[in-house]
Formats: sequence, structure tokens, C-alpha cells
Amino acid sequence: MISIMFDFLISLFIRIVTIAFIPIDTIVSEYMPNVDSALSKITTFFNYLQNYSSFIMSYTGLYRDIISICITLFVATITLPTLVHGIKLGLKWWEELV
Amino acid sequence: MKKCIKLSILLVGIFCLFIFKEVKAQDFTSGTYYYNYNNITTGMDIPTSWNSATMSLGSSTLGIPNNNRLNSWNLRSDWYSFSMNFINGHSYRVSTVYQIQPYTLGNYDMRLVGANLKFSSIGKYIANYEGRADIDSVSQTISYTDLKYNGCSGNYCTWTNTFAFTANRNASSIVLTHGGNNINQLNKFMFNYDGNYSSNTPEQLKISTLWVSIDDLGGGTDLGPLVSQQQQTNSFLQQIKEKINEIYNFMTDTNYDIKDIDDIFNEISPTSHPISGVITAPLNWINSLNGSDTPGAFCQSLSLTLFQHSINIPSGCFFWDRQDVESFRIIWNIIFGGFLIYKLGYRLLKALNDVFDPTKDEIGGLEV
Repeated sequence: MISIMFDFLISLFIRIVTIAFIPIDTIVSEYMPNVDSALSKITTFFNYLQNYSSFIMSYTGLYRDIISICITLFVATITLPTLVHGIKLGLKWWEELV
Repeated sequence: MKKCIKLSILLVGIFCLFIFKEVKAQDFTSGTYYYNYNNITTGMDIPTSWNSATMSLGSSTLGIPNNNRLNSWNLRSDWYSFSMNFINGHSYRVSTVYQIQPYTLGNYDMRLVGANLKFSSIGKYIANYEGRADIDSVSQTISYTDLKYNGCSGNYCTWTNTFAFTANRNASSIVLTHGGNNINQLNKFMFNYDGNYSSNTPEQLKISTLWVSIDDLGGGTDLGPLVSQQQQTNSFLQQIKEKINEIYNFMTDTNYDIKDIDDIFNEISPTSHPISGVITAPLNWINSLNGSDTPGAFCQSLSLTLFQHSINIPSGCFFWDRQDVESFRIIWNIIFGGFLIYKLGYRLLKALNDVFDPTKDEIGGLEV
């Protein structure tokens, strides 16, 4: 049950992100095809990794939960600085506007 | 001071993992007495038809702790038995929870292409099968028996076999017989497969954990309401499960086309997701690890084609699935997981500090 709810939340988040980024995705794919191609490579890379995660797990002996934490750490590492500075930038703009 | 904070986070991470493992292990131990039997590896002979499939578990008798009222436990190919002191007139409810790791199911899938063999689909089926209890070698019909699917998580799926009876004399042992049709029904339940197949290769089916709980319901207990109540609960749970499955199937449909959501997106439905894909790709990866979409994938071998030569690298399960390294595996996971949680906690704290630090206005050297 918890696993299903966890999967549900992740899937919900994926959908929300996909919908929220539609305008930016459209602009990038229409007017910056090279950037689109470069960024799509990241998605392709992760899809490629999915094929080998089980094989790696079989040798490392790590449980799926630990692998999930590992991926979460990776996602946090690449997104947290951007998130923090995004918040600060937003606050700065808000101060300028007010 | 910083080292102390780091060490504290690391210890808290390891402690959390311990708690997590403990809670996970006790999910199904709701009964009075239980016994965990880790990593029973069964030999499953695959015949030409499921109708004659047997699960042979050998003749292993488990060592039962002295403080447990369950004196002995025996698991065989078509029956299991346990010994305890049953009191005349008392009613007992026995629940057995099987946790299965069908780590070779990927092979089944590959060999049975086209068959309705999807391990994830067993959640849609709840099978009841009749049982017969021999109490001290005297046959007694079980008042109530039920085989209930609990759910799948990753490579593991669990189901519970519950039955209840009233002892009609002082007895010391009980034998539950799984007869031929019952085994067949169990196989159908597990694999949702009812056809013939050609391969005759022995495969392994792994019962990773087995819980047994026995409730003494006391004397003069009428099992009728219990049966009725439990059946109603099961029916209710089944309805909830079906609803959750519907929502889950809808939400995990990876072919998310925005057009399906609203017509307003018809004109701006991008064929690629360059920015959102960067965020969603790792999440999809996590989803693929946690979901039941990759049954039995843990022990997949790797096949490569190099200079027109096919190279097959076996999976590492030959080492990690050995029973004598299970403890080492747990310790290794706890240490590595603790380190990861420490790193994660450290990064979260650092990010929190950066929010309130007015001097940090840059991303990787780029001033914003």
C-alpha cells in the first residue's frame, strides 16, 4: 500500500512537472532545437541507465530502497542549488516589484 | 563542531535504517506468535503443464526458539505441519504469510511470450482454496480458510493464508494438507497462467520470508461471526484495492499525452520534453525501481554484442543470494545507506543555510 502511494506521488509529481513545463518545453523545442537535442540526451541517458540498474544492483547487493536514496541524492545534488537560488531570485524580484 | 554534526547525522541515518528495517519486518506479524524463516529456496520442477506442478521444499525442520509456543514447524512439498499445545474447546486462528521473491520470473516471461504471464497482475486475483486440517492425525474440516493477496513491492509479493478451527480435544499437533488441486490453484493464483508450455527446465522460486501467527481465541468462541466479519473485510479491502489499482494504472501510464488531459493543450502539445524530462527522468528511474513493472529484474544477466561476438555476463546473484552472506548484505546496505542519508541530510541542511545566507548569490560560480 505504501509502495503504491509512493509510486502514485512520484507519478503525480511527474505529471505536474510535465504540465507546468509545457510552455518552456514548447519554446525550447520550437526555437532552440540544439538545446532541445542536448537536454533530450540526458533523458535518453537515464532511460539507458534503467536497463542496467538491475544488473548493477545484482553485483552491488544494494536493496532497491538504497538505490532509490542514491538516485534521490543525485537529484537533490543537481536541483537543490538551482532551487535555492531560484527562491532567492524570486524574492529579489518580489522586493524590486514591491 | 562540524565533524560532530556530520557524525550525528550519520548515526541518525543508520538508526533510521535500523528502524525502517524493523518496521518493515513487522508489517505482517499481527498475530500472537510468529516465526521468520528467511530465504527458503525451493526447487520448483516445471513440468509440461501446471496441472502437475509441485513445489518441493525439502524436509527442513526449523529450529524454533524456546520461548515460542510453536514447538516445531515442518514445510514439505504438499503439506506443512506445526506442533503446539491446543486446548480442547478453544478456537484458533492461524495465519501464514508468504513473501515470495520470484527472481527468475523474468525468464518465465521470456519463455512464455504471448502468455498472460504478468507477475504484476496477480494483484487482481484473490483465490480461495479449501484446506483440510489433520489434528493429531484425525481429519477435521477447517471452519474457514482464505488465501489473500497482500501486494507486491519491488521483487517481493506476499499473500496470507488464514484458517480457523475449534479444537475438539486436547491435541499437540496440526497438519495442514495442501492437496494437488490446491497447489494447482496456488500456482494459478501466483502466476495467472493456465496453459501449457514446452520448457522442462528446473527453476527456482524463492520464499524469502514466512510468517506464522497463531491466535488463541479462547473457549466457546463462535467462529461464524469471525468468518462473516473477515469475509466482509476481505470484500471491502478488495474493492479498495481495485480502486487503487485503477488510479495507479491511470497515473502510471507512461504514454502521457497532454491531449488526453484537456483540449486546451491540443495546440501546444510538445513532442519532446527537454526541460521537464531532465527532472522527470530520474523520477521515472526511481519509479521503475519501486514499482512492480520490473518483476524479477534484480537477477538479470547482461548481454552485450562486441565485435560481432555475443557476450553474456551473469548476474551477481550467485554471491548475494547465498544465505551465509545475508547478514553481511544487510550490514553493507545499512552502512552505505547511512552514508547516503548523511550526504542527503547534509545537502538539505546546506541548502537551507544557503537560503538564509545573503552572501551566497551564485550557482556554481555564476552570479545570479
